[in-house]
Amino acid sequence: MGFSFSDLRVDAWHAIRGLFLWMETTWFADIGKTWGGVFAFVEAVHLLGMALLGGAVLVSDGRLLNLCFTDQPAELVVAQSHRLFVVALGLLVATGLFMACSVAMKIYYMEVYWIKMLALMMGILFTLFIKRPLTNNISTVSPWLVKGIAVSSLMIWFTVAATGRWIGFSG
Amino acid sequence: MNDKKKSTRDMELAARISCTAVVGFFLVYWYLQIEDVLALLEMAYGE
Repeated sequence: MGFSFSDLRVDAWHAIRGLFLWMETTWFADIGKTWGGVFAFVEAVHLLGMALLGGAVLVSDGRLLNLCFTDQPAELVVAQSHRLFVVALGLLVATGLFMACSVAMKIYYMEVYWIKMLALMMGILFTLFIKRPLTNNISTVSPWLVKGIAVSSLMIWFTVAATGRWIGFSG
Repeated sequence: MNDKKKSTRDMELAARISCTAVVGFFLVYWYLQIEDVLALLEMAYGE
């Protein structure tokens, strides 16, 4: 968050302009721009990945909030949904990179894209370094903290999904 | 055993701080976004 609210963010944005210019010259970009059907197919897979990730997040955070699968141990539900989460995240990053190459300079100047990327990084770091370690043994963690983790996770991933859709509306 | 307990306490503290920061940040962020949209709608359609 310190990065988001400091000049470091602006400096980093200027520094990676060259990377985005290069991305537009890759064969990913050529394929995506030449055959719109390929881009559309990859985008459809990206959306399916988002549905899978959203489902994994809802199941694990729902269990932590005692809203679903309450007949199953929380550690089991969170561990199993985390496996789906990792697969979905890999799919999203792979398809996202393909699509980003095709429209690199357009998204470079799109504020909402950067909000999504920051939220995505926050979500990944939060899930891997806060949620996952603490939910390995939930009985040792304060129940209110468990619920706080679930609510935070839901807020982050909701923002990622909403800003992703917002990119679509920003055309 | 003490090291493990300390490490769990440190993790919990980190989790409390990050959860508070995340919830606070997104509450403010979405509030400001909704305010922006309401202002745009008011400009477009009036009161």
